[in-house]
Amino acid sequence: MLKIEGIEASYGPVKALHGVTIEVPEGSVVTLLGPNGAGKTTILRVVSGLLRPSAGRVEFDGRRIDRRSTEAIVRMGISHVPEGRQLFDEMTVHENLMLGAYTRNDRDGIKADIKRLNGYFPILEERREQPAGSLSGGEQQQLAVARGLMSRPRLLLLDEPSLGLAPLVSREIFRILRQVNREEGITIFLVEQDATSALSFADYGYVVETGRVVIEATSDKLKEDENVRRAYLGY
Amino acid sequence: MIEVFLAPAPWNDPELFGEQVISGLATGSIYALVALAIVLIYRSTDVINFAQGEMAMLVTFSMWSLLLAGFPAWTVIFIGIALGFALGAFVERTIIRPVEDKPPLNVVVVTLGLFVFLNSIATWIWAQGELPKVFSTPFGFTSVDVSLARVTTHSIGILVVALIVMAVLYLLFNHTKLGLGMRATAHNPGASRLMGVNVGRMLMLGWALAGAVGAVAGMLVAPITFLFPGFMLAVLLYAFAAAVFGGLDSPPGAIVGGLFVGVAENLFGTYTPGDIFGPEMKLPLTLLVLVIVLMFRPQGLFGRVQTRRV
Ligand SMILES: Nc1ncnc2c1ncn2[C@@H]1O[C@H](COP(=O)(O)OP(=O)(O)OP(=O)(O)O)[C@@H](O)[C@H]1O
Ligand SMILES: [Mg+2]
Repeated sequence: MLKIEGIEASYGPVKALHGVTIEVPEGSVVTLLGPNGAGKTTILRVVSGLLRPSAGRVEFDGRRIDRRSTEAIVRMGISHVPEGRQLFDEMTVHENLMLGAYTRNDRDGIKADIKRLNGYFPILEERREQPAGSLSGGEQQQLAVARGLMSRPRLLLLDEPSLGLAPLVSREIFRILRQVNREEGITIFLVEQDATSALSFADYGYVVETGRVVIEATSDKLKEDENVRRAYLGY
Repeated sequence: MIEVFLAPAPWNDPELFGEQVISGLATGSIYALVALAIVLIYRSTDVINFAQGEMAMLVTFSMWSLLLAGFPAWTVIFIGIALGFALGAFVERTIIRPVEDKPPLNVVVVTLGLFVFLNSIATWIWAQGELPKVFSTPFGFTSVDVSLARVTTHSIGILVVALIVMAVLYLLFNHTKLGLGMRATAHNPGASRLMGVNVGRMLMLGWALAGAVGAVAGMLVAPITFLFPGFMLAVLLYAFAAAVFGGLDSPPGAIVGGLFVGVAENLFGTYTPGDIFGPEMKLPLTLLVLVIVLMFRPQGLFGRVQTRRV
């Protein structure tokens, strides 16, 4: 479904990606691990069109997207839940969800989707008219994921959804993501610090270091891998 | 005995007081409109548009020429608003966008440059012949009685027009999808992009709306001050004061600030103790009040405290 082929990208003179190739098959969960500054966020930014790669190509459903605008990419069915949530803090929970549905025009469908997401995240219904900035960290992350789902994506990009959350809250979010993947068939490409959770959730994983993929394998194989265990799983 | 009031005290002449308040609200709503235009642009692009008044001036002069050419008044008003809108959009696209991601001072220089440029153009085109030029109002200058006071129909017209503009902006921003996208862009352009909002278009639209609102203010002021290249200068100053006073990022603040400045200006002009200050001290006194308030509330009445800007 998503094919990233040999992409390179820079921030000004600093090159952040040196030829990264990744594939995310339809219906799967693929995770991206790596130390701080490895280029994980940069890869997601290239996929969602926030950053133009200087070389390589990105394909979605066989169509090239690396020259398209973010708006066009969202309309094609890719939704990016960014690092640090990036909610509209001063706007209400409901307005944040409506912004998630910005590319859609089917009022009834949007209403139905909000209802459906309230099933996953009951807290959002309760907090509907509250400014997003007043929610707790865990609630904000739930809102970020819900907002990301409002565009009815077929591919969901998640950048460290468990960052700064208590283990219980983070487990709850992963439970919902699994449900979203299994029941709604939404493909997930997940960047995560918490490698244990990520590998138990994902089918396949990539490890990037300084802008390059250094290992790729099924989650089960990665869990066994000596280096991965030492560096990311801590045993 | 020291003459405390320049004019009869409010309790001796409530009619005069009422007149001053109402005409203050009328000029105040013009300041409010220009302040709103400044706030619209500041919120969405972080730019202080020093050329806001001159953009309105250019539009008003163009309207004067169209009127002279014999176009009917309402057509000209419509064209004027459209022209203000187009000018705002054009300025954003051509000269603001290239400096958008440059240091803030560059943008300041650009809008100051635009100020000088527009002023020169207007002088070049319209300053031959007689200045100032008379600019008529569709409302007329008839005096009418409203309960306590006598005010001109133009003042009432200003109040009504300003109210309509504010209502339209309110509905646009709070009850349409476009408004939602514009507010989101003002808060967090990066995240808005991820929602599929066309951020560039929203920024352009913000400038366009500001241009249109400024144009409306221009055509409301011109009948009072008459038309000359610098006729929006004083208005711009008051509007800046009003915008900062209300909180540079708050549209309701701009409105409250504008009305406050308009009324305060009138009351200071009418009632300052004659033996101490003359009426010409009304501007400094008004600004003094603003400065004092800002000392205690640096972010302005309704502004939010700037903790971080994403
Ligand atoms: N806006 C930016 N300007 C300049 N350099 C940047 C910018 N964003 C990232 N970089 C650099 O690009 C490299 C990759 O950063 P990236 O954010 O993709 O890392 P990451 O793997 O997501 O790290 P983390 O786990 O800390 O989120 C880093 O060296 C970083 O310093
Ligand atoms: Mg990152």
